[in-house]
Amino acid sequence: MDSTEKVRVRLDGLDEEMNRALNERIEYFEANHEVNVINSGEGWVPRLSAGDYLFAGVINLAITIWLIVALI
Amino acid sequence: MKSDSINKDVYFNALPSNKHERLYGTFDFLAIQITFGIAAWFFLVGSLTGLTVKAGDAIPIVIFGNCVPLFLIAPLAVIFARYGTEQWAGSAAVLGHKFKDLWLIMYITSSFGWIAYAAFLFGQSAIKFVKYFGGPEWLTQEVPGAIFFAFIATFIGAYLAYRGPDTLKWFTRACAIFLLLVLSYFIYAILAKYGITEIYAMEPAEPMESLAWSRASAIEWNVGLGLSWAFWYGQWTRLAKTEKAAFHGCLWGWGLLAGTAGIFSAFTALVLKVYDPSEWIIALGSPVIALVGLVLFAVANIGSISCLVYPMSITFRNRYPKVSWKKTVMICSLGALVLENPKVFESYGIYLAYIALLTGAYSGIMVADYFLINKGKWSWSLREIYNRDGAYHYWKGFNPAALIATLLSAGFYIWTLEPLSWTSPNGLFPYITAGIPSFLVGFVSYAVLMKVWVMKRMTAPLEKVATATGAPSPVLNSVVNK
Repeated sequence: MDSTEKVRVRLDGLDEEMNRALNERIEYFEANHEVNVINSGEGWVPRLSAGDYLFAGVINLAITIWLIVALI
Repeated sequence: MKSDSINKDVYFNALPSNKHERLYGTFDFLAIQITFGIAAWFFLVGSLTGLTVKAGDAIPIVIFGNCVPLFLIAPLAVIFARYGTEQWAGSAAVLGHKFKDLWLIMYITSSFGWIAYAAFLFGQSAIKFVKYFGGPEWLTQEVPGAIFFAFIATFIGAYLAYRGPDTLKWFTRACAIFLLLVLSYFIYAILAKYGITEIYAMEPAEPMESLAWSRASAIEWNVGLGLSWAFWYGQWTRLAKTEKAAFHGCLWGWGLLAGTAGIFSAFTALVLKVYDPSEWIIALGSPVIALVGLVLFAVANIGSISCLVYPMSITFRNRYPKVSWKKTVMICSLGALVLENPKVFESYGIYLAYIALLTGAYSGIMVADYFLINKGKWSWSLREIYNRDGAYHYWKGFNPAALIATLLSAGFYIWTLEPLSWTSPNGLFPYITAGIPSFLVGFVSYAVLMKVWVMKRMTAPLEKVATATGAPSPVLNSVVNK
């Protein structure tokens, strides 16, 4: 199964209007964002940068070292 | 019940949220996650820590336990911001549709514990309040008084959730302020009365058989709370304006900032040598302050219950839309009643260990998928996430790699730390803890099984899209990005 076949999604319990809205939303994502995501680009919103991971990683590394030093 | 508001929320959560529906920037997230995070669970984990280790150990343990696990599972914040799906809808891409349903049930049932702890703290506050005013004897005792009041708190909390977001919004905001007031009073009273030097010199009231066991246990409890957030990301971060806001808001809001509540709770438990935070209010304040504090604390715990039941109910209703709203709220709350008793209340450490077992396995798998699988043609397909008969059906609705990784991770946890007896069958605990290593077991085993087995036997969900657009392979892509 792949998304280029454009299988219409239908969720049990959702009314017609909701199912139609869901399919429209999926089609919009596929048309505007899916290829970006495949190529490591944005989804619906701007993507996280490696710098954010680095910043958080450095702080959490410092916390880990602090714990080790405190418990030695 | 404001059915329009609830239907709007169910409708809103059923669809992947697009760019224009995003509500929260980084600072919005920080504020929301601090108020959602600071609740009974932080007071109790701080209390356990303060009863077990000295202040010099407690501070780094609380900070580590509530920050580093959140850093490890932070990609969960990012992925649901990227695709806009509700957490348990999106998890189908990794777990398979039926296994995801099983995890959804585990999420609901395991969350009964959080409700029960908040409810029993309400009960503990209420019996002290009744005692002060000379109420009936049976209402002033833990059994049956606190249980009776805990049941009432659960029903009120569930009713507020049933009323929907219009009622909840203002009540939960007020409750967050109540808890911050109580916490601020603890901080003031403890520091003014004892001072930091005296607190640092105090010995814990209930250390374990050795210092290593005390420290490792305290780390494990805090890691359990840190990992527990793994079940609560997508409900919030699908509304993030950027992935950056989702990442930093949850990481620092639930971690470093809300964790502060745990530090001061640990100090208070260390000084007063009592586990129950409602006892602290009595011990630290004048009668008037104690009464006001008890009322604020009790009401705030009802707010915590509503804050849990409502998102659980929305999530459940999204998956099972035919179930009425009333039944949904009952399903997502009444199971907590069986846990509202002194035995469970005093076993918070065991509960946190089971939470770490579950969330460590789940998040290890999800994070491995984010870093190592979800690239190129193996990126998530939004269509397949909602198509129960499509690519994410895997094997009879179960991704075998996720299933095996779950068993390995959970098995490793119990082999390292058996929560009920608090013993270590393999002898590795207390030299290592159990939560973070189990996360790593889930991470590695899922990645290996996917790479060497599942990915070789199934067609990538976005195979044709990638081929049609000439998207490079994940390996080439990562080289290009560097």
